[in-house]
Formats: sequence, structure tokens, C-alpha cells
Amino acid sequence: MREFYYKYLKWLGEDNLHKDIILSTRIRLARNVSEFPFPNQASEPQRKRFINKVEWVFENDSNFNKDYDFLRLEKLPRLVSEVLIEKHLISEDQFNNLPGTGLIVKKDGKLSIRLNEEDHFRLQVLSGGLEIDESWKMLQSLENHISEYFDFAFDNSMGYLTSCITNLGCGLRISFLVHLPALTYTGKIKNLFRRLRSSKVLIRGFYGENTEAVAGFYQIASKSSLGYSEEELLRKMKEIALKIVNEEIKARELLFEERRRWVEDIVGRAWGIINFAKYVESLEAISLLSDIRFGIFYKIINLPIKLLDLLLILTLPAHLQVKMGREMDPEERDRVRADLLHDVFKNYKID
Amino acid sequence: MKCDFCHKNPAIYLLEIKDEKGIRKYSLCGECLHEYIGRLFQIAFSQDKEEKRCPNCGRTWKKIEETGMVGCYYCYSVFKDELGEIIKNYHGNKKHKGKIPKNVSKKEDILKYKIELSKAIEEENYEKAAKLRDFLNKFNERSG
Repeated sequence: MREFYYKYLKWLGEDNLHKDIILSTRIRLARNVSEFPFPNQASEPQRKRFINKVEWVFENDSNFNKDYDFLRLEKLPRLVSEVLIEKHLISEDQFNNLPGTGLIVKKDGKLSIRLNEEDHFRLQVLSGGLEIDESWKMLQSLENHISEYFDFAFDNSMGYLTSCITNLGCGLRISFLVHLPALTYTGKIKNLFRRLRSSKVLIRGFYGENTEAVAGFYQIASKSSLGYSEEELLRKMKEIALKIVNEEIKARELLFEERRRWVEDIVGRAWGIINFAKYVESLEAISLLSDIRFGIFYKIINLPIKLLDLLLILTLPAHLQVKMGREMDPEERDRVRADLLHDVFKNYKID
Repeated sequence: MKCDFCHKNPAIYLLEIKDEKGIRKYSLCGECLHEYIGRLFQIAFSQDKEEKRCPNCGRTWKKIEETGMVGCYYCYSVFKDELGEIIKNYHGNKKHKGKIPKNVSKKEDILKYKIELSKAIEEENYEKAAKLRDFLNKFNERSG
């Protein structure tokens, strides 16, 4: 079980554009085959027939089996499934779902295919920072590959047919995990989000409802893919990402000019807690790491941003339990989390 | 052999039902087959909107409304009108613009060449027609 602690996270270390603001880019394609009912309607034997067919392709197509793992979720320990959720590889829905769901994942975690989740296939590419063009190429070649074996459900006017009507069209969704502490602290975020929502973009706090003000992490995603070509949608979302980056940078610079001591206070407090606290809760860790990340931008703290982004995942509850190889109650987790943070931070200094 | 449903008339059709219970086969007479198909359509196009059911996967409109999830590829034809409204509300009045899957574009290609072939025959351009015919034959062999 312990090998799953660091597994599938290599993509996080990529050096793409604007990493200090965009933690990751996720591009995914939804596809269904016409010969089986969609997973939520299919019976257990039907779902298993589908996944067996995919497994056959996986075993026999040399393009897959070298660099990929094929996982059947019902055969994994519960903790490992939870870890896969925290690594953004499966969704909570899939976790709660009936037997017959699976995951094909490249060893570096960058490319993956969710099987029998909401749709038969969910192809995804994860990148650290802002990266669209290369990811799209990868996704296309993966899709072409699968289409050699399966006929996709399609309609000329609705596009690729999906379980939920919100995903109709080219079935493409682009989302960014963004870190906007300056816009959040200054309250300018409301204005930005109002404008974004009117251009058909979905926004939510990344760590669940009501956590945005704590940490400043948000997920920004395209809302509809019907009526756009793939290239149009990719271009549109890239422009939106760049607009967000610009506004956050402006807000960060202004904040430092006008209220430098306040910024240093925020970062210093986070530093103090991380170095001396004996118990750190999960949400608290996210909030502290957010403030440290903010400090890295201003070079108040000299810590690689990649390491910080890794910590944001490695300190999540299931990850900590997999690291120790056993289930832990919240109190023990908070203790292990505090120790882990000490161990990493003792090697770095604050200016 | 007598019809499996009425046990009176001679059976001339074979009905195969495939579902989660497996495959069941019935030998039917014309009358009973028509009645059976009629019933399927009645269910599919029932006046009672909530009870309307997809004959392929069995999902009712009620379930689609409850879960927000469509049951299968065919649901999109069976519930075309009902879904059309919802799709328009979410996506606006839009039509698909992106990629077309291979399995569909291949069919469209064949259709295009077939139309050209019949045009060529009409115009008595036999040389062109022969070429198109050969091409189509090869195409069919390939997609086997």
C-alpha cells in the first residue's frame, strides 16, 4: 500500500508557465460507446463486459501495457482508492460507485483513463502550471488509439453523447487549479468571478465549499463544449487563464507596495505555526501552505514551489495513512502531519 | 412450429430479447410480433410523460429527471423533445462544431461516394462509375 504514497505525482514537477499562480491544468475528454448503456444505467454484468473488453485491449496493445497500470477499483483497499481521489485520478462518485469501475494510469500520473465512471471513458491529462497545447496532442493521440477499438456514441448536432447533458458537444473540459491569495485577501476576487461567470466559466473553491476564503485555491473550468470546436475552446480557456494570472500578479504587486509589513506578517505567522505546532489539521495545513506559497512569490521564503505543491497533496488524510501503511484517527493524522511539515521545513529559512 | 405467445398460429418470426437476464428467444407469428412491437412503442411514446421509457435500456423520463443522467445512446432519440429543452437551457441554441468520430465519418464518406456513383451511372459516365464501384468495394472490405 505504501508505494501509492508518492506514485503518479511526477507530472506535478513540470516547469510550465505561471506555476506560481496556476498549480495545474487538467484537460479531459468524455466518450461513450453506443453498444453498452451508460455506466449509471448499465447492469453489473454489462459494466463488467465493457471493462473486460477494455482490459483485453490494454493487455494486447503494446502501446499501453509498458508505461501504464490497469486498476480495478473494487479490488483495491479503500485507502488506496481514497489516495487516488486525492491525486485527482478518480472522482468521489466513482469511489462510491458499484463494481466494474476502473482506472488506466500512466506511471507518471500525467495521462489517465477513468472507466465506467459517469461515462464509459474519461481521458485526462494533468500538467503542472499552464499547459494546453502539448496536453491536447497527447489526449488526441490517446483518443485516436481507443477509437480503433470502440465506436463512440455521437450525434451530428449534439456531438459526443454523454450521461449528463452538460458534457455534450466535443466532450472536452479544461480546468485550472489556481492560487489567488492576493485577489482573495483584497476582496477583488468577487468582481473577477462575476465577470468570468458571464463568460460561461465554472468556479468553485477547490477544497470544498466555504474553503476559498481560507486558502485562496479555486478551480476554474469551462462550462459547455457544445458549439465550440476543440481549438476554439482551448484558446478561450487559455485566454481566461492568462487574464486571471495578470489580475493576480497586479494585485500581488500592489499589495506588496502598499502593505508590505502585512504580507510579511501573514507569511511569518504561517512559518511559525508550521515550525512549532504539534498538531496540524488538514484544512489548516492547506491554509498555512497557501500563505507559504504566497511568501515564495515575494521571495520571503526560499522554498521550491514544486515541493510546496507536492506537500499540498502529501499532507492530505488518505496520503498520510498510506504513508504509515494503516488507518489513523484524526488526532494521530494531525500529529503525523505536523511532524512531516517540521521535517521538510527545517531545511529552509525565512528572510 | 406454433407461435410461443398465442400457441395457435404458425411461427414465422424469431424474436431475441437481450437484457441483464441474458438472451431469450421466442418463435412468433406475425400477429403476436406486431402486437409486441406495438406495445414497445406504446411504452416508448406513452402519453404519460413520466412513464415514458427507453426501449433499449429501460430508463424512464422520471429517472432522467431525478438523476440528471441519460441511460444510453438511444435515450437521446427516444427523449429527443424533452431533452432538447434542457439542452437548450444549459448550452444555448448551439450545434456541435468539433471533431467527428471515425466510425461516423467513415459512414458519411461511404454515403457520399454512393451518391456520386449513382450520379455517374445516371450521367452514363461508366468509367467513373467503375472506379467508384471498385473504390467502394475496397472500402467495404477494409471496414469488414
